[in-house]
Amino acid sequence: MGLLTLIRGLKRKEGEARILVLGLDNAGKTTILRALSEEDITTITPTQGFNIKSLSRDGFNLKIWDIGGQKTIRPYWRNYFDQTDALIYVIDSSDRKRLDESHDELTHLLEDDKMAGVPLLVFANKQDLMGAAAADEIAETLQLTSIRDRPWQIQAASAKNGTGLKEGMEWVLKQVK
Amino acid sequence: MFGLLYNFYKFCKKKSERKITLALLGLDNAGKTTLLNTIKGEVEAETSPTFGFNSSTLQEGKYKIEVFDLGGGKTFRSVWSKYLAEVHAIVYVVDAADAQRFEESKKALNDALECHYMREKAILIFANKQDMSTASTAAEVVKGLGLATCRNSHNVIPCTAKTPSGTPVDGRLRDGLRWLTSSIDREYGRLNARVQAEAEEVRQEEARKKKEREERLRRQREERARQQKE
Ligand SMILES: Nc1nc2c(ncn2[C@@H]2O[C@H](COP(=O)(O)OP(=O)(O)OP(=O)(O)O)[C@@H](O)[C@H]2O)c(=O)[nH]1
Ligand SMILES: Nc1nc2c(ncn2[C@@H]2O[C@H](COP(=O)(O)OP(=O)(O)OP(=O)(O)O)[C@@H](O)[C@H]2O)c(=O)[nH]1
Ligand SMILES: [Mg+2]
Ligand SMILES: [Mg+2]
Repeated sequence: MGLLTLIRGLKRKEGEARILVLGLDNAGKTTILRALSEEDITTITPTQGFNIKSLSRDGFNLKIWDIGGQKTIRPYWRNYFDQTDALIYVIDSSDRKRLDESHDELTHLLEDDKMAGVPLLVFANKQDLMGAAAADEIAETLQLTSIRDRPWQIQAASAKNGTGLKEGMEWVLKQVK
Repeated sequence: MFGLLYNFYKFCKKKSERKITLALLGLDNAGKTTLLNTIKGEVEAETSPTFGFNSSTLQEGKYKIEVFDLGGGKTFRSVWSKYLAEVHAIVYVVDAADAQRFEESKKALNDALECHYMREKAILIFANKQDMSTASTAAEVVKGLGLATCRNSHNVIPCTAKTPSGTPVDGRLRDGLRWLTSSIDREYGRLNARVQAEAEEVRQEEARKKKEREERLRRQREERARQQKE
């Protein structure tokens, strides 16, 4: 699959796009990006700062920022908001206890002026685990249905076995034209 | 002086413009997103299944129409009701070439109509995919969806949403919208007042839920801090 293949599929696209990946610690942000780049996903450690994935193809330049989600790092998320074309928010669907906390962080993000109107993709990650909450359940718990000021999409996914990642990224790339 | 006149002109214009909100509903694969793209003039855009929400604005006569495009997949239909308080009417899209799913489509429509926010609101039904040889006629769709007993004001319009490049857009799409706005026109004042009031009701309910969640989180945090101290 791979990100490059996805970009190749885009028609007539030029310029730059900046995508921000956020979510609580342990949600699987880094794993998702590694899996999309067809890299090893067995040796991932919590992100202390951030990782950038940069891709170029036929005059189109894509930069994906993966920021650490630990509580102590979250206050710095704001530093990355400028000129964001799309936001990917990752959720550990098996961690039901922290859905409220995840919802809370997302609410703050969406309320920020710099994030106004930015399209939102929610990856309901870790669907391979027993007891993972389904995508529609997460949409309701996170009150995504009360969002009116931007397009949003929720995608069930598993970074571990690769399902849903391509579909999610395709939606994101469609939004950043 | 001129400024004053200009402001008066703007005031009158604003008064004559009317804003409404519609929701596009129907089963997955019915052609909702395609139909909206076509009306917006984006005929070449390819669609993929919607699992979420997207809104677009259209103009039809004096009506500025905000359209909510929602996903029609089985798991997504349960959240349609969250949007119904805010809409003045719905547009329901049916894949007319897929008669096997009429029963499922009928059930999804009836579930939506059960919501009290849908009371007395108009429904425009597009019998889509008329370019397919197997497509049912409007009369067959009326039968398939059991519309004979539907108490909401409704109209079934056959159409083809998908437009191969170089071919003209199906005029029946605009005809449908015109029927819908004219049926809203007659009672706009009353309907709009009701929609605003009910939408506000829902917003307050959401705000209340948000407060509850914040309170829950605060208690959790305090609890954790207390445990750490011990
Ligand atoms: N079972 C399962 N485990 C996953 C999945 N995605 C990620 N993980 C695991 O979840 C843990 C956290 O993954 P990371 O990618 O480091 O999470 P992160 O969101 O980048 O975390 P921070 O960098 O701390 O913000 C790792 O042990 C991953 O192997 C998944 O889809 N299924
Ligand atoms: N032949 C034909 N195909 C159509 C027509 N309208 C839509 N389609 C096709 O039907 C498929 C589904 O269209 P969408 O617009 O994505 O359907 P949707 O109702 O938005 O589906 P969800 O987002 O999953 O709820 C696509 O492959 C479209 O190209 C039509 O008028 N004729
Ligand atoms: Mg990480
Ligand atoms: Mg759609």
